[in-house]
Amino acid sequence: MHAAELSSKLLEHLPEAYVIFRVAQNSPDAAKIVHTNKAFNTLFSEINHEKDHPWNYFSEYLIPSESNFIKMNLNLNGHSELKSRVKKLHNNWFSFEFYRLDDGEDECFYAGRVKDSNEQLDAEQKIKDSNMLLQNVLDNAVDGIITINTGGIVRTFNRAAERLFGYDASEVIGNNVSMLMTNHDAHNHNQYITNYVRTGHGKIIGIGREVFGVKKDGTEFPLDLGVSGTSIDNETVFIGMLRDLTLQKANERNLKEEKEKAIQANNSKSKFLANMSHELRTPMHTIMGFVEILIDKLPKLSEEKQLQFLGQIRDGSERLLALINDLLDLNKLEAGFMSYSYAKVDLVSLVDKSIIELTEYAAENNITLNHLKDRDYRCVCDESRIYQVLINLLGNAIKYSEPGKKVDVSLSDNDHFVTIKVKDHGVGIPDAEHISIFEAFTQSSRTVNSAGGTGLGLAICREIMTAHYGQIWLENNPQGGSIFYLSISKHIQPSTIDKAVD
Amino acid sequence: MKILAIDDEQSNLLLIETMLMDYDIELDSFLNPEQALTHLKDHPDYELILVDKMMPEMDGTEFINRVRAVDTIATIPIVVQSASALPEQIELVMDEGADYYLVKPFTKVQLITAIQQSTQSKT
Repeated sequence: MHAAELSSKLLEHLPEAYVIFRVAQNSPDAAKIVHTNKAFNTLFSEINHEKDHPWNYFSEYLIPSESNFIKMNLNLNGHSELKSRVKKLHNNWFSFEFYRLDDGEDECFYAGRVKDSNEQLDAEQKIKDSNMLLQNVLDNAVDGIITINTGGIVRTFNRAAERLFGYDASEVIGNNVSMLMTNHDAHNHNQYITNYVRTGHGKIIGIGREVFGVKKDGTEFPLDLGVSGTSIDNETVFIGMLRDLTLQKANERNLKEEKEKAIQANNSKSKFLANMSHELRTPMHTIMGFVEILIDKLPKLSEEKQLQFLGQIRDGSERLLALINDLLDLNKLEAGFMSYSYAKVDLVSLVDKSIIELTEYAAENNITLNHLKDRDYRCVCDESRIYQVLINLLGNAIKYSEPGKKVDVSLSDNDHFVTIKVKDHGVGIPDAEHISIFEAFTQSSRTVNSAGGTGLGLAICREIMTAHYGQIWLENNPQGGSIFYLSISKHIQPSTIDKAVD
Repeated sequence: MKILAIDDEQSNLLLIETMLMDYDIELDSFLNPEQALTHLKDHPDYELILVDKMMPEMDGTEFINRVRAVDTIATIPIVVQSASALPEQIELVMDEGADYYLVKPFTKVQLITAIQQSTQSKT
C-alpha cells in the first residue's frame, strides 16, 4: 500500500472531521472540496461534499462575518493555520481549524479540521458571564465596595461607594483612600495596613468596625467598615465593604430618647401618684381623726371644742375638694382637654375684678391689694382662665405675706406681650426653687405651716399660660418677697386659636 | 409618760393632742423641727418622739439622724407618722432608725399601739 493511500485511510478513521479543499488564487469564493473523511460526512450530512463540489466555507452554517473572516485570512494573509468558530450546527458549537497544505501554481490546498468546541466555549462563556455578573454585582451592590492596594491607593470604587461619598469613581481611583476618612481614622488605617503587610495579621481584617467617612462636601458620617484581604498576581489587595450607619444611628438615638422619655414619664407618673396619695391622706387624716373623737366624746366635749373640731373637719373637707378639683383641672390642662374661649379682654378690668374677689380674704389677713393703673391694656385671651391664674397668684401673695404687708399689681407691654406683674412682700422663694415651684405638688420650703395649698396651683397656672403662648415666671422682690410675671401674647388671633383647640 | 410631737400642720398636732387627752401623757408639740431639736437637747427626759415625715424645713429621716447623733437623746423611741404610704418609703424611714411607722389616716387605737410597742421594745 502506498504511503498516500495509508494516509487517506488514517484520515478516514480519525474521530475528528476533516475536509481538504482547494482555492483558486483568482477566485477565492470558488473553493472546491477535494476530500472529506467519514467523520466529516457524518457531521455535515446536509452538505454536498462530493469531490470538486463548490464549497462556500460553511457559509450556510457560519455567521457571515465568520465566513468572510476565513476567506480573508486564507487569501489575503495567507495564514496556514487559523481557528474560527463554526456557528451552531445541530445546536452545537464547533471550532474550525485549517492548515495550508500545499501551494500550487494558481491554487492552494487546505486541510480543515472541525472540532466540537462546546466544552471550551462553555468554559470561556462562563468566565465571561461570571465576569459580567461580578461587575454587575459590584455596580448594583447596596453596600459601597472599595478595593485598595497595600499603598492605600484606591483600585476600584463601585457605584454605591460613589453615592455614599458623593465622588465619581474617576475622582477617587488612583488616590489614597485617606481622602475618604477623618484624620483620626486615616491615621489608624495606615497603621493597620502597615501592620498587616509586616505581620500578616490584620487587626480589622475579617471583622467589621465603625468608622467615620468624609463625603466630597466634607460632611462626616458614620459607617460600618468590613475589610478582607486577598492576593491577586502576588499583589495584596484589601476589599472594604461600607455601609452607611447614619440612619441606623439616628434610629438608635431616637429609640434611646423615646425609651428615656417613657421611663421619665413613668417615673413622674409614679411620683405624681405617690404625691397625690400623700396629699389625699393628709386631709383625710384630719377629717377621720376628728370625726372619731367627736363620736367617742361628744357628750364630754365643750361646745367650743366641738366647734373647733368641726371646723377642722370642714377645713380638711374643703382642702380635699380643692385638691380633687385641682387634680381634675390639671389633668384636663395637661391632656389638652381644657377648652378655651378666646376674646378681646380688657385686662385692667380683669385685674380689678380679681382684686374685688379677694378683698375679703385680703382683709382677713390684713393685706392691702393695690392696682397701679396707668392706661388701658387689652389682649386676646380666655378671660375666665386668666382670671383663674390671677386669683391663684393673688391668693398666694396674700397667703404667704405677713399681716400688714401690701401686694402691688401692675401692667405693662411691648410689641409682643402684655405683662401682668404681681409683687408681694412676703416670705419669698429661694432661687433654687424658682423653676421647680411650677411643678405639681411642689411647694416652697419657706411655706412654714403649710398654708393648706394643694401644691397644684402654680402647675395649673403654668399650663394655662402655655396654652396662651404666654409665660409665667418669678423673680425675687429686692425689698423682700416675690414678683410673679404673666405674659400673654398679643398676636393670638381668636379664629386660629379656636380652630387649634377644636 | 412624756412625749414630744412635731408636725408642720397645726391641725395634726391638735388631733394628736386630742387623741391622747384621756391618757396619762404629758405632750409637748412643735411646728418647727429645728426648734424641737433644740428643745430636746435641753430636755432629754422625753420617753417618745412623734414626728411627721414630710416637713418643709427638715425631712423626718434627717430629724431621726440628728436625734440619733446626740448621745443624751439618741435612744428615745421615735414614731414616724406620715401620709406617705409607699412600702419603699416606709422601709427607708425604718432603715434610718425609726421605731414605728404610722400611716395617716390613723385612729386613736393605732396611735396608742404605736406608742406602747415603741416604748416596750426599747426597755
